[in-house]
Amino acid sequence: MEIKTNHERAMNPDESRLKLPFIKFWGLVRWSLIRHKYLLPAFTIIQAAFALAIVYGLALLIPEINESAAIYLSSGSISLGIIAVGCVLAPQIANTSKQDGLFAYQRTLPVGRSAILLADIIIWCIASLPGVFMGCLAAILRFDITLTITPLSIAIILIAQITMICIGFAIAYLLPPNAMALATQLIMIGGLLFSPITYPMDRLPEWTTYIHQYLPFVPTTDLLRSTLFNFGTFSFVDLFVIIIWAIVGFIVSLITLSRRE
Amino acid sequence: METMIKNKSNSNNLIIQSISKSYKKGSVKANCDISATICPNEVVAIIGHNGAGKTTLLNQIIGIVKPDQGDILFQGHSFVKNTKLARNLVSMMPQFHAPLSGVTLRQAIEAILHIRGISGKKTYVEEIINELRIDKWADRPGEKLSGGLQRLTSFAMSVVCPPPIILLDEPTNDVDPVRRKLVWNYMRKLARNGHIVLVVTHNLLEVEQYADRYLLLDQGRLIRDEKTGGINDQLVSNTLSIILNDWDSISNLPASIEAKYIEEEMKMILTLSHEQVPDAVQWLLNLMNQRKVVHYRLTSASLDTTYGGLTDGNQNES
Repeated sequence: MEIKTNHERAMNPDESRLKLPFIKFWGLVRWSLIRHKYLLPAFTIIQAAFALAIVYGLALLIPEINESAAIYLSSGSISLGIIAVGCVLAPQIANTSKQDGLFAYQRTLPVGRSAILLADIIIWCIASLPGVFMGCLAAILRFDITLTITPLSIAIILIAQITMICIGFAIAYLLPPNAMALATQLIMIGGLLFSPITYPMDRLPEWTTYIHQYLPFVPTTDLLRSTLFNFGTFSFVDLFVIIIWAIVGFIVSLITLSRRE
Repeated sequence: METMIKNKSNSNNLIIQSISKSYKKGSVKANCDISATICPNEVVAIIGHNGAGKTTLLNQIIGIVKPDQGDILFQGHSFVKNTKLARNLVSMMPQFHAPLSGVTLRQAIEAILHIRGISGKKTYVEEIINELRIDKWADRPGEKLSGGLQRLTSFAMSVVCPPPIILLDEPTNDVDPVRRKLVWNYMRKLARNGHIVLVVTHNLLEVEQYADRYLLLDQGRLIRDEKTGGINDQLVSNTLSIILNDWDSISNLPASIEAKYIEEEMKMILTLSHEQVPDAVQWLLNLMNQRKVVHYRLTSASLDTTYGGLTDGNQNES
């Protein structure tokens, strides 16, 4: 049997200079999709249950739900779904891959570190879509809310997903398993109980406003609310804050992935 | 005594130049001043005790570990400076199994070809699966494969349509005797086709049988670099190991270069020159007639003797 080599291709940067990176990148995405083929349906069910629990379950705590409360619950459900996938599920799975050797193995593959990250970001964006969809559906069915589906609202959903996933990866790659578990729990508990995501900011002490405006979670929810639910004003500061968090998360992940012993 | 092979200058050689690496502010030396030239067309085994620096050396070649000093050159390019190029030109089988959860054996091999950007995947995948005789398990999920099959899958992922340099970390561990031979033969085939094949292994018998050359590492230092074919030319070339059931009645030991007794194992190891072998065999036959021998082995495994003589595994285990 003749053993072929892709040596010449590797040594000749002119050949397939544009095409080859895309082929390799698609190879990474495809590999991730196959590896996660059982996880994605499971995540869909979890996110559906999560969205229904917030829209229907949390609504039971409020005696009379007006339009404002309905919008907070609906937008909060979508936002928390994105946070849960990006900052809890993604780091947990990424941390598992660190422990079972996938992380180390990926570092030996002939692909750019940023390509590895981007492929995983795409997979996790796909993974969090069912939550977004179920949140929207629950809002329409439960509160008869009309959603504003525009290029801007879709872009904000995408930016929100990428930001949370980048933060999640940074947590997973940077922290040891125990600290990672603690950080993800903190984000989820903080997000559910102590962040004005499912209720207005004025219910919390004023000093918390200064913290929340620089953390990514509340600005993300405010942007979703203003674009998708047409409630409140669109803030470029919020957009700037979450883009900065996305960039920081991506760079931290990239540095950790590229770091040589 | 250090024995190093001098190779002719060739840009297709992998040149390791005075590589050193230490951890914990220099207190732990992973490897120290290692220099070697690895040529295409040869299978080179890296041997040494646990913690001798074998895996670190492979990781330095592929660019995961950055040497504190020294360089690794191939075709005039530095792998230390250009790790992206290193990953394009080097394929590595990790010490532990490649991650196979969620994918079948076939999908795992296909995935690597996709990631390497290689077309004609089906043919390559079928070829390697047939070569290693693992077609029966091709569609079984990775997590349900036995340890040996996971190891073979990892091997297949590394050698399917490979780049010029192939690094294999203990590829035959857990693999059955039949497929071990297939793995080594495949490595030889790769070498014949002009690939550089570097294999970390603990199996000295396989090294003697299949490798062209070995690098012996001890405490991060390269203490021997020589052809395996040269072993039999040495004076010390035969080892007779005997496990006895009656230790006290042993007498009239045959002439030997060295005789070792391992009391707790009831084992005697005689190192023999070629001339001493017939007398030793006669002595062994006498013992067997007296039913004092549980097990015996006469080998030309002088690498085993060399290895033990040059290193001290118990002290250096990590």
